[in-house]
Amino acid sequence: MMRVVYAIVLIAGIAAVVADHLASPSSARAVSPEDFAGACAPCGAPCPSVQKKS
Amino acid sequence: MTTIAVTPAAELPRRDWPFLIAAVLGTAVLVALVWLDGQPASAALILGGFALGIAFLKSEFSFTAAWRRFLVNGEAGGLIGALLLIAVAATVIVPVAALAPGFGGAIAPIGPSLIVGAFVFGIGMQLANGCGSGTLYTAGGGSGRMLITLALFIVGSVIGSLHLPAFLALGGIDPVLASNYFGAWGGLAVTLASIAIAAGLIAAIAKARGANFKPRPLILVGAIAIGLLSIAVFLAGHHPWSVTFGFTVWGAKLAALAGYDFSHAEFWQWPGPKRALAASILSDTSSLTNLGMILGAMAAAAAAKPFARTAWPPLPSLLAAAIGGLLMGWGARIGFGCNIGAFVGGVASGSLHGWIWFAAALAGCAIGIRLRPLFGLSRE
Amino acid sequence: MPSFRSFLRQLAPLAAAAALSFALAFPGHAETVTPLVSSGWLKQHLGDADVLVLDVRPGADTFASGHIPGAVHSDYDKAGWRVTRNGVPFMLPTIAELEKLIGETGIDEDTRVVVVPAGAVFTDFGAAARVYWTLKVAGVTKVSILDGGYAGWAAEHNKTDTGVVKPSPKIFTATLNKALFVDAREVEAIEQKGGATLVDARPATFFAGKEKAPASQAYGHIPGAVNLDSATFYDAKTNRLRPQAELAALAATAVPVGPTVTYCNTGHWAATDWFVLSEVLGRQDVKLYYGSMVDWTADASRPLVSARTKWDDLKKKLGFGS
Repeated sequence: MMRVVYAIVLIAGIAAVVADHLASPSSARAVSPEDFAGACAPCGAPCPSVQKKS
Repeated sequence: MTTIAVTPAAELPRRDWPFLIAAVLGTAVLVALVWLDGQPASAALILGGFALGIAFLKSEFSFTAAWRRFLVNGEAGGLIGALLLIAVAATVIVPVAALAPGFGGAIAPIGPSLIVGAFVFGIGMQLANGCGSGTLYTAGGGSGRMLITLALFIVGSVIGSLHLPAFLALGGIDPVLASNYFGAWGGLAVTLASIAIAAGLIAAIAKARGANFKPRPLILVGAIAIGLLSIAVFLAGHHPWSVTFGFTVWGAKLAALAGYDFSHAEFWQWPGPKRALAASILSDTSSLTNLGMILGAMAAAAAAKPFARTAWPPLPSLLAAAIGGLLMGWGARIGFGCNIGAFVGGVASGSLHGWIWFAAALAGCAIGIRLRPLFGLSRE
Repeated sequence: MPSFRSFLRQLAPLAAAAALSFALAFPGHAETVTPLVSSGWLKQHLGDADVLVLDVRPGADTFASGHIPGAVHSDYDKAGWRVTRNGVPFMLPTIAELEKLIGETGIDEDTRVVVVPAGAVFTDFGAAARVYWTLKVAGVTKVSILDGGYAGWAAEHNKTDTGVVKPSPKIFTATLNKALFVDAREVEAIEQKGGATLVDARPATFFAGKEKAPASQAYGHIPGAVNLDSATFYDAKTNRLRPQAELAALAATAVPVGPTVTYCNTGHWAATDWFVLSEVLGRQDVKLYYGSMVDWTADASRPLVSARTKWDDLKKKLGFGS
């Protein structure tokens, strides 16, 4: 039943997020991969010009 | 004699309290965790996502259906609505990304990777009946079919992450950003002009095909609301709203838990992804808005009617959902995002890649639409 | 009736014993200075002209209610053995400050100093070690710590005095001994390029980042450091350092021979590790990073390693963690 699936997914999902969060290293503010130097895309990929050099 | 119309009891909205409470409680737990962690901006991203979930659900703001209607009928209302949304967001994103230190727009290199990824995403979104935002608010809203799409979206994202470096090696040019050429305000002017030109072209096509191009009132309201919320998400997270990176991280974390070793995967050695894999899910901006959006849509759906009370669609439809999700996940990683991260984010940042993504994804949609009947899905 | 000669013969062993103990108790002035001295030794040498007993227990009242006869008091916490420099507390004083502090206590370059800790817990041994180190850094060469401290002295029912003692100030000229310490920049270089073993003298919970000193800005240890809790060297039952053989065995397993830098939170516990490695075990090139974690964490760009999780952070926020 769809409702049951949803209930399980919801509870398991929130539990997984909470567990991942609490087990993670103590640190700083939320960031996206673009925050990191040299990032050329929302996933943090390097720029073609940089890649050609390396 | 007067007659009083009485609404039959069955049509009255019935709140689905368990799911409404669960969604609100779940959101409260996540907000509490990040608040206690000293990250109010993260709390803002969760709540921004929550509001986006409500806005999308209530205005039924579907990019996928809008693009399909345009391709099949020429009906352009939804598409113009999306452009309005992007224009609203651009007014803040272009100048702030150019002027404020610590803020950046959505950029991406232009080359085969972008085009192939967007094209494949386009195919997938028509099979899945949803795109990045669509998957989130529809799954959150109680569609079991979309849960399947979401699951495969996550799988496809991880696979895409392993292939992306090879696609990047095919070459390309560095991002082309309007504000780099025209300055902050010149860049904004160019961006808004490009949106206006696109809207004009689309409206002209609609007219030529005898279809409507004016967005319905609900779409207009939705576009403005979502545009404003996109600004809020940008200001809180310092980068435009992004959806698919979150899925990629969720999938990779699960794979790592199951024992997969990412130390040889180039994507996961780049500083951003590397940090995201090691750190808390709640320290990734994309994950925060995704979680908020799913829960917000769930709350809005449960507040209006019984939640997830529909029957499962037939198997071919579920197959399309799965394939669609897989293609979207892979395509988004190769193409640097989905309709939100690449199209809305890219164009609203004044980055050329946004338009190219749109064109390639639209072409993919044309193919995807043709494939729909194979799975018993309608062509419109 | 016993003759006088037989009387003398009976006395002879006693006289020999007396002469021997006399010789042992009062050796010549060329006697080597050992890093640790026993209560027995101190009892014999209390009257020596060059010996100065330095009681470093915190609290003038503690001193006044009972101290070793002739001892001078210098409050470890308040007298100025550690000062705040550039906003970082518990640092090494300047040369001028050292000359004033040491000279006013009655110590000069020729003084034979015996540092007296409380002798109750391993932490107060660290205080004595830190004072010992400070004196050596300033150029006082003849320094020892009283093994067992004041508690050990009193437990042997030795004579104690009460009341305040006025020190006789001397003019002391400091010669900074740079071979005994490093600063943050040198530790940064070691952390990046190697060249020395970093020894973290704190308990394991601090090393892992589950606890920190209040004055530290962050949790964890310096990347690459090994953990050697200063309490390991101390025998809590006897309130003394462990026997030399045990100290050597402990050090051998934990710290490879070679250049070593010890640190802790404020250079207090680390002084014990330094004392054991450098002074007792005679290892070469052992230095103290006196700024330690309070100094290291003052700059947010310096790296740290910790096992601390957000669950630890949450526990602290909610009031049942550290």
